[in-house]
Amino acid sequence: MKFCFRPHKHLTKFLLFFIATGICNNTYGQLGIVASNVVPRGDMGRLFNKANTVGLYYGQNEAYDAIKIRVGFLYTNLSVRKDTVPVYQVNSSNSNPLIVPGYLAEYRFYMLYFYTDVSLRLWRYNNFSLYAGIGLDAGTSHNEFNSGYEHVSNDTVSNNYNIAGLRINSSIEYRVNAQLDIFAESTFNSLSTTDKSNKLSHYTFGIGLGYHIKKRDE
Amino acid sequence: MNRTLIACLLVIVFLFSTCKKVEKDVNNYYPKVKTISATKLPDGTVRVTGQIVSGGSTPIKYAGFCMDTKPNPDMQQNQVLATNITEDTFTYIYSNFDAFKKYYFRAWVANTNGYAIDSDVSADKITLDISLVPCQLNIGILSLTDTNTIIEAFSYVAPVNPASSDFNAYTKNHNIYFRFGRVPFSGIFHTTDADYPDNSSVMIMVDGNRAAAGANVYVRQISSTIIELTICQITYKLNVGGIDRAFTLNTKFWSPG
Repeated sequence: MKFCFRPHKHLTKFLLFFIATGICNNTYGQLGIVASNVVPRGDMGRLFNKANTVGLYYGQNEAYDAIKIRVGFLYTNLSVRKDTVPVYQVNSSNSNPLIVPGYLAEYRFYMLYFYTDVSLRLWRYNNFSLYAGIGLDAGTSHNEFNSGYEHVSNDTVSNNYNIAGLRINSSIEYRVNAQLDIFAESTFNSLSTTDKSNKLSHYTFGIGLGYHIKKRDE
Repeated sequence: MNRTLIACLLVIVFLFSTCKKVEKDVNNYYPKVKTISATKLPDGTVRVTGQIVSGGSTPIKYAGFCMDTKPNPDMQQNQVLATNITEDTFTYIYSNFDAFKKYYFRAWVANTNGYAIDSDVSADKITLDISLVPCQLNIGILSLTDTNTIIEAFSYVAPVNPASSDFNAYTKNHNIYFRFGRVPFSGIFHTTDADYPDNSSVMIMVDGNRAAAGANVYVRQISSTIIELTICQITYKLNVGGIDRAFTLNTKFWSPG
């Protein structure tokens, strides 16, 4: 099966964009990397296993780090939980047979989205800070699978969808020094395709590093 | 700040309210079913029973059976929806079997996420129990009664026409025409006055006069090509000399014969 969605090409462009933005930025910006475990929920959780991913972000802190604003992206490739999914089709009510059995197989799924969020510091103790925030996600997803219904059809289906939704996040951060933070974060992303046909809700649990381009005041 | 926190909490509640629990075992999303039995009934029908072992993560939407003369029939073969569902058990009654063939039945169920189907159970030698026929008649005899009784022997009975499920039976002076809803094998069919009977019905005309609806015709398969029909006390009206007279029909014969 040939897949027409080539995320690695897009990832290279994003990486270069973020690095360039960080270097050119004159304010207290930071570049960060987050290694996350993506945990599908809802209908997505029925089909897909958890997966690990790495994302990049560009952030800007305000009010002595009391407010964090981030723009980042996440790409994930999820594997299916069941090799063959037993689906069925319903014919019109006066048809016989009414129920036509079928299958979904060889399911592959990719998701790439940008996010932006604003987090507020809720608590601070020495170099530890607790943040919570909300934000938006927008991007694209791609799925490909083989599908067939008994005595009716066998097809290879390929779809690209625009996706968008809300996110909430919480993180606990440790300030290592004037330029480096490490943090652990969790997010919940409630995304759906823009035609409302699919919901792509998932958690992420990650650890990350944030590098401040300019040294902060100690 | 308080308003911000309240807004955050509302968003959190909204997002979590749209979240469905993820099953640890992916197979728990899909239903499980068992084909329990195929029980032969005295009237030549078979009651098939299935059991919902597990409904999966969403309610069962459809439950039914499939049937064929080959083992492990496809889900679409003679597919029916269950007519009787009680808790986790569902049944359907199939009818009109060839007594010289073996039949295989499978139960299936479907919920929102997918379907499940179990292995088959079988039944053979499915035929009408002769003790259900309420009248004992001599074979090959036609009896018509109003004030008097006319008894004649059949001179010819045509074979059932598979294309149209009908045939004629002739005595010296009378003719009975049968139109079944489908090719009859074994079972109890009900008379109808409809021009095109359904699968469990038969339209009968005696000398061109339609027999009353609601009576029983008992069909029993004698061999792979011969069926035995018994009619007990079926009435029909005949206009004789401008007067409507009610006749009662009793007969037992073989088709073809």
